[in-house]
Amino acid sequence: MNMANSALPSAGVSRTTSFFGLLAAGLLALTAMLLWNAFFAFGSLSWSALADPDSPARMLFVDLHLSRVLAGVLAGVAFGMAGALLQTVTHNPLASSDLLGVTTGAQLGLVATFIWSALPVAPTLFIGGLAAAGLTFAVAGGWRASPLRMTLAGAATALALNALLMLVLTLSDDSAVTLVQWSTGSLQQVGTSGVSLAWVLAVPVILLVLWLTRGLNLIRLGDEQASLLGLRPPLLRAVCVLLATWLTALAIGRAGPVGFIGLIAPNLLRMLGVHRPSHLIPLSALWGAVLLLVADAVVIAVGDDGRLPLGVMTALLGTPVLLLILRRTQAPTPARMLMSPAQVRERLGSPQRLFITASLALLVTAWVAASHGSSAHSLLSLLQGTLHGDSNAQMILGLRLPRSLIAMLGGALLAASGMLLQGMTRNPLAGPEMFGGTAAASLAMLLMMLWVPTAADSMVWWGVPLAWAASAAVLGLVVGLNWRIGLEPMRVTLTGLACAALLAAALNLVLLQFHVHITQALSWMVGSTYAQGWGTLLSMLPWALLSLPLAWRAGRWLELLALGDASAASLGLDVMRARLALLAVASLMTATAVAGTGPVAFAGLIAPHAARMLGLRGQRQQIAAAMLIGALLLGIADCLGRVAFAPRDLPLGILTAAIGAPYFLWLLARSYLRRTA
Amino acid sequence: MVTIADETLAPLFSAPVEPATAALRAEGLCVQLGQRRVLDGLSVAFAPGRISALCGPNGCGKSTLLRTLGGLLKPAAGQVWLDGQLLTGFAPRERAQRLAMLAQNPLVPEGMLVEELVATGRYCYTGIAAGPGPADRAAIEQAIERTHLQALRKRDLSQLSGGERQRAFIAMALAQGGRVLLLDEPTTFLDIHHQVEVLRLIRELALEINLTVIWVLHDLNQAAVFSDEMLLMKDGRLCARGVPEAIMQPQVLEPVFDTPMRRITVDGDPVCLPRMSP
Repeated sequence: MNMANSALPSAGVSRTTSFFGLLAAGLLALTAMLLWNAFFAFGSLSWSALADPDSPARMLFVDLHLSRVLAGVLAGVAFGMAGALLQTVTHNPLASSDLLGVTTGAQLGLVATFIWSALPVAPTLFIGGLAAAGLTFAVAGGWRASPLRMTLAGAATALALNALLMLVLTLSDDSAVTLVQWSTGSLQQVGTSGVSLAWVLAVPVILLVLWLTRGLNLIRLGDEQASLLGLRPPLLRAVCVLLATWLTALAIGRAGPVGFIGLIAPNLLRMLGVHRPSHLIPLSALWGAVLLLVADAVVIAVGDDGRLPLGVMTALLGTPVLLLILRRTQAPTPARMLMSPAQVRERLGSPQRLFITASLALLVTAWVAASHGSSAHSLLSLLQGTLHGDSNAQMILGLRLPRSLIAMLGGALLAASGMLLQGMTRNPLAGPEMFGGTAAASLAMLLMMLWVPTAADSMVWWGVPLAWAASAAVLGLVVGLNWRIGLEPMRVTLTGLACAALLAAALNLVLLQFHVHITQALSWMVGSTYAQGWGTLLSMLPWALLSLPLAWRAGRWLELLALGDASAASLGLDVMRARLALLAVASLMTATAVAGTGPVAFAGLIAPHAARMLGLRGQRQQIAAAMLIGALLLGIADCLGRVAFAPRDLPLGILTAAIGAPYFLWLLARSYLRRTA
Repeated sequence: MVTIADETLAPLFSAPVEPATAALRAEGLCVQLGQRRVLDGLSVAFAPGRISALCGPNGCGKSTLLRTLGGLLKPAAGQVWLDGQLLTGFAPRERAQRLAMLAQNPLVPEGMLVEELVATGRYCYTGIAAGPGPADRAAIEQAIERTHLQALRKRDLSQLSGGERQRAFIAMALAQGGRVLLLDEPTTFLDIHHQVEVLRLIRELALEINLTVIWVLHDLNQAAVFSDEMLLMKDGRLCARGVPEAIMQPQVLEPVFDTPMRRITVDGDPVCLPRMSP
């Protein structure tokens, strides 16, 4: 203890110094960035023209450059402050507007103001963000939820709201393209009125937050001790969440959904030793503004034509930091299930009957999909026509049937892949989309298509192996990064989500770089079976036929792995080799599915849960059931997307998310309720 | 030994507490936690300046009683009086000025200094926005001196040993300036040296500034040595109360803990040990 005493000379002095040091450095950096972004980033300005109040150069400068810088400072301050505030009141270093879903909620509010222009902007965004925060807290089981659980609930909320957002965007005609471009974040302003109003609305809240920072020191002792000291923690927490949401809404109104600033700024400061809320909150605001202006300077330097949106830029910067934070965060819960797998119910009839019912349902879906469309031909008449060489019938059948079958096969493969990943990591939240596997496969194929123009034809043969390599690399990375901590479920999930976010940002960036049209872009981002034909189905088949028997064999391993690594090893399983083999099979199935349907989310995540809830015992029965459910989910979603909003063809991924995300939220919330009951 | 529910009927081995002069008093407390009724019509009063230990088997309701007395739990029925006034009548900050309590497991925030922690004890005077004034600073200094934390005041709380940390939290409670201190198992997770250090510190402080201390202690023998009186609880009821000499008797302890006991005397202090064979 004496050693510790001597090793730590008066920390208080250095702490005050570090506060003022960081404050001074932050102010300096902010001034420098302000000057750079306002005056120099856009090329040389004529100073004499600026001095003249009526010159067009001056108006241009004020309306475009100055307002952009002011919006950047506002958004940075607001995101940084909101992040630090939320992290303090939830005792959660991973809390921030974006990770709690507030950003997506506000974004949804913004879309609402585009559709119903009578809605006032700031309050609508605020209500959207508040509703998202409420949903996240409810799903996590109250603000007391562990950091990792809360983050997961926030991610699930964001996924669900994002699905809703996509649905609205695709359904609303004219504004869709601009909105999608805008929805990746930009500080471009039109005139100064918007940003001035936002500042007027923000300043009182910023002052109020600064005024509250002293009281926040008490809340760090926990609610019980804080209330014993005379504080009312629930009241203070509610006020802080409201203020943080308000700041987020204002920032999103000006900058769009720019993520990660609220996460990075406070966590970097904490790593530098700033902990006291009265220091952390103002410094987070200051450095949040600096970070955002730096990111915007890069955006301007690349050329502000929408090829490098600010949101993508901050995501590229932020995800590595998130991974770093995850590595440093103490695991609050040792390797235990934070979400118990769905309770096995009493069997709903014999497995045989279940399988027969599900297979019949699949046939019906295929029949409905083939019979419905712009022209009414029943499947039977189409088949007859095809057999008799009717080219019209052949064409219609070729438009409808293969894509439906591709969706079904993709769903089955994704579900089996999710099942293997969940069993292999003993993590009920695993899935190819959760770990970035689908995004990696999609990105690899997209890059191949764009860089090697001649590849498009040979893609049929090249696509799957290429995608396999990419998804295996990413899934292996997620598992490998967490191998040493025993694949602690929540940590693995969050590492996966971070990788998925990074890949999504990269995908977004590539799509924008190559000016891919929005409808095509969506199919790469969320998955679509639009215009897929027999060729694609044929190219998927060999890989599917290769992987399915392997998955069937792997079922036995999963049963052993479920007992824990030590027990499995003592029963004679080579755990390492089994995991690697499972990873290879799971990524092959992911890649095969993505080659057909694109990176469709949720099938791999929820189909295994649904299979378990049906009361099937044994991994093999569960794999088979999960595959049928996955096939049904995607088959129905594909049919609905083509028929329900005809003549518009909704991408498969959007409908799957619209069905899957609420179900996933429900699963999460339910698992919390059962745990506490 | 007959065990009786109500304090007024429980066997008393010490002078009864006058309700009018009691520092802290509860009447007819019923507390419901979920489906379970943890306290069932419990009445008790604590004289000022006395150190009282709450003892009893696990789940007897001693922590629940302490948390209800501290205002953390709302009783389904019954009332608590602090200095003769209804506890529910105080605003949270007013209550904190008169009564301090250390929760069993407070969070230990990273990067909080000892003196910062002590300063949080003055929140009940300063309110949310103001900084500490001269009176607050004096109280903080005094609390740090009384707990012998001068050398550690600039140290990070998360880097202290368990005993030092507990002292820092006691200093925070002292800074609140009240005369009533409630402690929920203040010696858990401490080794025997630090256990005794903390117990002795509290005992000295209680004598020095006439604190009323109510603590939940698991170790009967420590409770007997460091407390003025002991209260035994079982199944949400008070079943015996008195000076340690009277309570530390096998015939009193055995029905409460359902364990055969024997008593020996060491240096004049009573020591009770479980019998290994009946």
